[in-house]
Amino acid sequence: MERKSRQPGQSKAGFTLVESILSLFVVSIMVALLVGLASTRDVNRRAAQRSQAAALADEEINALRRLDFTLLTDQTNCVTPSNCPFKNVLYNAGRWAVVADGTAPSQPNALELALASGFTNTQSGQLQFPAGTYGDATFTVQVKVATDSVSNSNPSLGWAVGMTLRSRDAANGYRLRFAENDAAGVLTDLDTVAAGVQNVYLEKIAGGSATPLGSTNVTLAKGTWYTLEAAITGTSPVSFTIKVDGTTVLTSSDSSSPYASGSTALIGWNDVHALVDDVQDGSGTWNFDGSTELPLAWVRLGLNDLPDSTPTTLNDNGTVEIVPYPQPSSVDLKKVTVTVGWVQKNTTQTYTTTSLIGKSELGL
Amino acid sequence: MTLAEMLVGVFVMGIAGWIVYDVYVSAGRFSGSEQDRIEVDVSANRVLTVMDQYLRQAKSVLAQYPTSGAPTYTSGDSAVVLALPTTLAGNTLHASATDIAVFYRNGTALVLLIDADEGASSTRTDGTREITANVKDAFFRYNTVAVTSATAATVLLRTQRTVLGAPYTQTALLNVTFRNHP
Repeated sequence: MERKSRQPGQSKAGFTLVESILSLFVVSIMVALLVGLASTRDVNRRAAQRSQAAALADEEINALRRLDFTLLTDQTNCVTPSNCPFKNVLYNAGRWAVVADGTAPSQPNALELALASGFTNTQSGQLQFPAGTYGDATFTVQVKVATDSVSNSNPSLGWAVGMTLRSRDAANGYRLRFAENDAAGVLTDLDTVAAGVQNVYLEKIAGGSATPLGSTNVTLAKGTWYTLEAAITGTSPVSFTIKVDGTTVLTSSDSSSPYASGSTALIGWNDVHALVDDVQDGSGTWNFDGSTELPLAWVRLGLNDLPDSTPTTLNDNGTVEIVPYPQPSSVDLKKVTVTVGWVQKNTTQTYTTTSLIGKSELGL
Repeated sequence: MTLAEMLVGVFVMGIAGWIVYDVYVSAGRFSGSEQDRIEVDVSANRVLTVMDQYLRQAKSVLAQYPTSGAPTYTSGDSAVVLALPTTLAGNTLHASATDIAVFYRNGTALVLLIDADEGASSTRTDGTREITANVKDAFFRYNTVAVTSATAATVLLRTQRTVLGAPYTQTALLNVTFRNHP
């Protein structure tokens, strides 16, 4: 048998077993390190969102305890979130930020509600005023609706801005909206019940149903700063005085189970892009000029801060099931199950907590 | 092994070693930054855990403390003065005596001040302690127009720390109903 001799400069082909094992060992260490880094960040993010969900659920339980027991009406079939809304809490919505704006009445900054997209006949933005609760107060705000807001004479599609007043939650409070009416001919009629075309509309929301309190017609165009003022006084009746640029445009009152106090918020309606400045609530003025960060007084954490798969539907990340306990015929005790959900990496996560709330307000 | 093979081998090993060292250093830096972020999160939760205990025990919010003299702490959006039922030995509550707890900010720290009713044999101890030092902002809200009528309070807390040269901020929320409200 002949044996081939190795020529000078000709290296051996292939790796030895030891070399291969060592290489695999080094590569596996590096891969493990990299995977570990990535998963650590994921774990931290998941923990932070879960912590926020738990805080929101606890907040809702506390809010339900403070609610009059007669208002704890049964809520079931929570597979559909609209059947089981959170009660007695109001949440912010939309993308609000302090931005530099050369046209702002108080330079250099204004508060911006970024352009919403895909909202139809619904609120697209909400930002609560700093105090937890307001009674008698006058709210003044300078507003400019940007030209890229969606105009439409159909109130289900056209933009609007305004405020909610003395709101207990999304289904109970007063709502004031200002829609478009400019010389170019776009006039959004918000009050389809009253004769004529009205672009300023005040309504009462009770149990999710709206009742008109008054409406009027005022020139309001995109690209122009207006001073909007809403004064709300009294408890029975509750009286309203609405002004635009210092002129009273609407007065009204509510004497049918009126709301004595509650939260106030700036709102955006449908696909609107708005700028806000010089906001006053009777206790102070905010011009947002000190920093590009939203002041903590205006910061809230809520359901709409959690990522979900339905961004054009607000407040659907949480449900509250309310049922009599221990039997369906029980009248003095309710079992409430609060569930907060969010989406992480295309997977729905949930946090659930249960509590008993009694008629004597000694929650268990 | 020829000289060329040895040089190539040393060069390849050098690159591999540099890569491993770089990954090791990056991992260490990342681990440190994640620990800093966790510390910011933990700071917020630590504060809210402490505040939760006192807020739940509260009877009411007082307008200010002390009623005379200085310094004075006023209940509002930056501080809260709580009236708590005096706790006695055996974990019972005094029927009428009141201890005072004040939460206020001092720079980047959130401070708890206790004024116990020693005459009523309160088991609480007078004094001031710093709960955490990473506080950027603290905001208090109440469920009534007049703070002294409040039966619940919401605390919004922002803690912050510089991580890898940039500020890392965590916002935490606490909402509590006063269990001893008359």
